[in-house]
Amino acid sequence: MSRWNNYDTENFFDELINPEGKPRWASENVARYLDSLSKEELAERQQAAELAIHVMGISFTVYTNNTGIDRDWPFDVVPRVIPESEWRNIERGLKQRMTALNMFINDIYHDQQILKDGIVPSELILKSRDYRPECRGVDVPLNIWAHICGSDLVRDGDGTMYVLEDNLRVPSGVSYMMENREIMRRTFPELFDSNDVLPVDEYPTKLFAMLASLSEKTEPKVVVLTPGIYNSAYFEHAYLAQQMGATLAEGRDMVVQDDDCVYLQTTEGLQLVDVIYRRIDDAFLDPEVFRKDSTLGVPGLVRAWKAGNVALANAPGAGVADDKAVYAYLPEIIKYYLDEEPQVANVPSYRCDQPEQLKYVLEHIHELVIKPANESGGYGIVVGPHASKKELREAATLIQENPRNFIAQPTLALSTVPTLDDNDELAPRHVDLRPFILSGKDVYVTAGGLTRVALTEGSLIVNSSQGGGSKDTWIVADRDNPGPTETGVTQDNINDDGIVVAATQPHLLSQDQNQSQEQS
Amino acid sequence: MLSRIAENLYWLGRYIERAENTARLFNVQANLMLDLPKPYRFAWQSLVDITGGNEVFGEHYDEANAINVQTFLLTDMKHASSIASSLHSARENLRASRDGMPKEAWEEFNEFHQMTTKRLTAGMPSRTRFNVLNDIITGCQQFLGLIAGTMDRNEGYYFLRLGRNMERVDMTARIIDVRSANLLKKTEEDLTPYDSIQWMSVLKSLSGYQSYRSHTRGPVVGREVLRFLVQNPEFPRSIQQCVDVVEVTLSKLPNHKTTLEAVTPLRELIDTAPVRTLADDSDRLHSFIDEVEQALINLHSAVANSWFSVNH
Repeated sequence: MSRWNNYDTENFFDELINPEGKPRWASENVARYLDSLSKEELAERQQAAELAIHVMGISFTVYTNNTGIDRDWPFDVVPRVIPESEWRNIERGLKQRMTALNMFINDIYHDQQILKDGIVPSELILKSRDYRPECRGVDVPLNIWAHICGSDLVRDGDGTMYVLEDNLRVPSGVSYMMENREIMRRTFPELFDSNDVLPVDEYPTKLFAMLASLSEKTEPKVVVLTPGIYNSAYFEHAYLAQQMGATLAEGRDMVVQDDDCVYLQTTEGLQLVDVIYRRIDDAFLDPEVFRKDSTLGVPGLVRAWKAGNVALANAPGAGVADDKAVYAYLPEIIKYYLDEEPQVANVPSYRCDQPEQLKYVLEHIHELVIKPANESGGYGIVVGPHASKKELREAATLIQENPRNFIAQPTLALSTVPTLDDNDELAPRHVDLRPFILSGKDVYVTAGGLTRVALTEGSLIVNSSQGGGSKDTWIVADRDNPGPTETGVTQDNINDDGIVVAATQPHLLSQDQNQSQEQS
Repeated sequence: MLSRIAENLYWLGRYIERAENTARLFNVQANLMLDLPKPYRFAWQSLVDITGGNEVFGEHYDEANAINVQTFLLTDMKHASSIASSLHSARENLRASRDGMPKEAWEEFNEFHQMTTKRLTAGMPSRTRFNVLNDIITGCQQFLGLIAGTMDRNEGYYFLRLGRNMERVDMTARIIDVRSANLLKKTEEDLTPYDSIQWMSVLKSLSGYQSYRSHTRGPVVGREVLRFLVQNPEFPRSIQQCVDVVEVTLSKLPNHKTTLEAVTPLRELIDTAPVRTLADDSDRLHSFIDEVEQALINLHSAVANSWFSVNH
């Protein structure tokens, strides 16, 4: 008997198994293969994966009591599978979103036409914590402000995929997306024989090309700016720098001279820097402009950026579009700049600064999720159905004191994926998905992204610091189920206009072939 | 390469060598004590003096007895040169520069660090102490072997090698200094048999007994041991040999003219060392070691000025 017969999807949408206990079509191979393994064999694979993570040194840092502890990256071996046909729609939606968001940010720091036209209330933007008046009037290369974005997607009970938020400041996680694939290749090589899984390894090449395109030089000096070894994402900073062949530097490694240029301090003297991929928040970037007490940044960096002598990715001030209150206006923003309807859904959001919506929120607070407008990482969120009466009263007071700072959304029933539990049985666990979007001369979306999973039964918290883990994410092409793109087509042979440039058997491509196609 | 990373790797080399040699230093002293007749087992304080930790020691301990000095030199995190502190600092420097190092280096060192910390903090009765210290020496050697076998011969490698060899000069000098502090007065004729035992102990602590034997046909006597440890061009822990390596290493680094010149005073000291006199006069030996230390400090300043970050 198939183990899936006993797998209870509990009225949630499961990514792999339908409510009848049958695999969804894209997951058939994976589900069948998992079913062929005994409980012991499955547990062995999980252990092999964990060993690989340890040996490869894939870690994240938990910072407590002034000491950073490296923990092995928590990983579950069952992949999350998404059909390519569905993914292509999401990809188009994400590209649309980022295009609109970049036009929006550029408008906000120039003419503010969207505010003048009354589409988005001026108050909302000009009083946002992440609006940087210092950036007004700065012309950035390609008019792009948010070059790297990590958007969080969730799937609701009816199967609809929503964008939950766009992280435009310093999103992390992409290195784990690549390492997860490497671990899966080591522990389940046979699964890749029977599935056409779109590759994710090209990200560092795409990232480097995008960063280099921000300079007019043919061989610009690119630097990854990290807050240092105690940052929880330091592993990723080092990983990306290494993969791109860029220099990993801290603020104290750089100086801005009287010529308003940025230099690295090297053993051979000062070396000019052209592009900085910064992984430090705006506030700490430059003590001359932002927080005076910052020791992480580079004094004069913003001066050099404004003079056009160095490109910063993401640009200072890009976080203004990261605000949850701005999120609520995203459909209008897309409509305004592109005259299009959103292709990937926004979670319906109540804006508490609008009196009639505020009234609704306060009346239905017990069934809504309340979110502060400009916090990230899950801080300050109140989940109505799970909150106590006291917590709800406190939340209501906070909202009434400062309505602009809050939005409310219906509670979503996050989808699940089979995950190995403590007893080595497969049980449904809630997941989200973070694809990464690069915006330069064109917009690139990773094939899938980082799937985060709440390892505790019933939990919705996917953060690795709070008991969350991750899974490899597979975008699977299936020849028998033609989607919007033709069978056998991978993103390697589709150009940015969605036109197929070469049809090849994807799983026969070697890495070298991949690269030569990119160059052609 | 980045000045900060160069500095990290230089200090990584120094701290690993320091941990290893503090283990050697402690072993030689502990063995000397066992060899001496009871009334002369007084010299724990000298070990504190030699490692330059007098002030810190005075703040935290009443008496320089075996237990206190052991804690101070091996496990005390308040003492910046204790083995535990050195390994911790080495790890922090490695962590900050790990993206330029072979992947295995971090794994290997991390495991070594975890294991050693566990054993050091578990408490060490004297019967297990020798083994623990010996494993620390072996662990440091293994790590450096891994680096030698896997790391590109790039600037980073040379900064690490520079730090390691400068520290080795420093520590060999200090280990000789332990001997000077324990040198017995000539008038006590009945103690002369112990003289050669003690020098042998110094050689063994530097894994140099075998090498000494192959270079010197005669017995183990002070002036020959000193000549060997200061001037032998082949023994890898002799001051002469380390300074040779320092010179070769410096010449691999960019813009090395001024730093290379800063080696000259150190070289002159070694070449002209009056080993015969020094072997018999503990005060002169001690001041000779002081001069070597000062020359090293000057060399370090030259290195820092040439290549390290100016911001801090």
